[in-house]
Amino acid sequence: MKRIGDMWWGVFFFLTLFLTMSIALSVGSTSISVQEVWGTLFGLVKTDPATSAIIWKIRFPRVCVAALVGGSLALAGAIYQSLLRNPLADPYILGISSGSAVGAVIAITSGWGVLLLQGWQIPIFSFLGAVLALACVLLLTRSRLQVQSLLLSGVVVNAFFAAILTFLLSMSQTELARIQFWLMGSFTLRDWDHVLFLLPVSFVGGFLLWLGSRELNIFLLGTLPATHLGVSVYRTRIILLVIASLITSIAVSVSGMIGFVGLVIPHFVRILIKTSDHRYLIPYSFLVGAIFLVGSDALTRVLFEPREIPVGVITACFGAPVFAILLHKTTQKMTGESS
Amino acid sequence: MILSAEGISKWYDTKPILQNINFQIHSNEWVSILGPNGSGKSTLLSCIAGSTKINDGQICLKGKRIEKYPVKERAKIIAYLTQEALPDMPNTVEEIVRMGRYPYKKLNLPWYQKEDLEIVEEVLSFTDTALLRKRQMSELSGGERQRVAIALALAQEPEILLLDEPTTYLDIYYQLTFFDLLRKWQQKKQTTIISVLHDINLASLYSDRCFLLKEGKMVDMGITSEIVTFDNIKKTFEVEPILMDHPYQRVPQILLKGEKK
Repeated sequence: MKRIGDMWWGVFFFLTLFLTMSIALSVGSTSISVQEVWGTLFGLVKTDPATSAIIWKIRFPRVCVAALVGGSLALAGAIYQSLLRNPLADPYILGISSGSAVGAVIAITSGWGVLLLQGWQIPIFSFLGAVLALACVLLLTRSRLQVQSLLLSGVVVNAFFAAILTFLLSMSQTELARIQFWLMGSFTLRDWDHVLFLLPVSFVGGFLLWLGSRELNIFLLGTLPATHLGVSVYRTRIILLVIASLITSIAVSVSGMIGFVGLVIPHFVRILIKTSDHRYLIPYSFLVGAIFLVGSDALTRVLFEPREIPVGVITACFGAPVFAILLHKTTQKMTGESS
Repeated sequence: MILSAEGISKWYDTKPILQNINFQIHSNEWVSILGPNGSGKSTLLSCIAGSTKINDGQICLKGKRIEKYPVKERAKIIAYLTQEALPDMPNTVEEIVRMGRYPYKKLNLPWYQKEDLEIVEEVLSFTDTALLRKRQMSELSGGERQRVAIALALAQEPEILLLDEPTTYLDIYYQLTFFDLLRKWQQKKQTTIISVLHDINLASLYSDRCFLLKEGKMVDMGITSEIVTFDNIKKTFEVEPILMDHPYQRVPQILLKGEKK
């Protein structure tokens, strides 16, 4: 296959995202045709108030949240994989997931501050939990931010918070279903406030990470060669790590722990565009992550209607086999060429 | 004088690696550091590169102490090439060579200036890697990879090029083309080259001066033909060589005796 220009992939992903979002807006308990969706969105035709309300008040914010969360997780995953030089790294590897899970479960079981924070109670608690976990990892690693010690600190922090989580779960019988749903991730009842919460963080953060793409490319050479090329390795690494972690924390606090996106999408994009150049990898991971999660979320709504299933189930069920096939094909090609 | 060292010492815990080393290196010189394994020659090179901190003494680069340079400024002056080939990375040769322009990046935007791309072109054609530019690293042979590594270092337009046994894994054809290439580049750009070498014959073919290290101490330094002598080699390497004059180049070459069969 001829290599498609790196820029054209962007156009392709953008159109796919637009199409996926349109379809996601049209499916659900009331079916709305795609033309009607476009008509309502762009104000081309007068639609009845009920349809307009479904699209503007319910479905569109939800789809936007799914897109932003998917993009953020995939983006953060790409950064983690490069910074930790580990293909198995995902945004949750440094304990952010378990930290935010503990935060959310404390919020759900204790009900602290629910009057004051209302709908924001769970997001804020889980964000604080994530930041706490990240702070623990950085404190444990402290000197020089070696990849190995980062990963090990991540394991330790993850284990510690998982223990707290298990304890909390065993103590609370009444809220288990709600907790379970949060742990698997969901976009139910997300509104424009959530979009406004996510949008600046993921866009500004994503842009800052993109500015680091040249450094990220050079990191592939290894730490010492990067220093000799004039990169301040320690400073750059910690800045990028903190930005990626904050983006992850915000995404997780809004949607719960959606697995698989951050791990698989960056690899998928690398295989597709056939380069690890971060100038492309970062924005394209964002777009493909958004496509993937918008599509998965649409499926959660239609598959077992009227029941909704956690989106994490879909991402794993559909992502894993597709990824396995892709991986199998590439490794086959690679070994075929070298022999 | 581009580089000078005054009484530099380095120790790990209490074990001395380098002891009271002094030297001066002038621009456009090729200096080779020779010595047996564990004599501290690679450590010395890494101290010059500024990536290993010395415990005593000082290294001055263009009249300023080396640790005073921000890493980016240092990378405009010094490039460092090690014996390890570039890792298997999913980038094309061209993308990798462009990384050498990093220290010259002005704005923090991840795109390249026209001037940078011109230098990358020059380096690609100079190192004979222009035809490989769209190839992935994983598709290249050991010799080709080392050519890409040298292209990356040259793209930094260094005033000083540090080589740490750069040809260890290469066959004699690649060794010779590698050093010929560097000498041509040196004549063109007035680069200073400091190389750590195992191969005394190669060192004496290409370098102007040699440093002889043993157990972290400078045994002798001077013009190559005065350093590569029977006494010096016996003293530092504990090997009795046979010394000959190279029939064409008028430099000393050594032969090894070995046990009789």
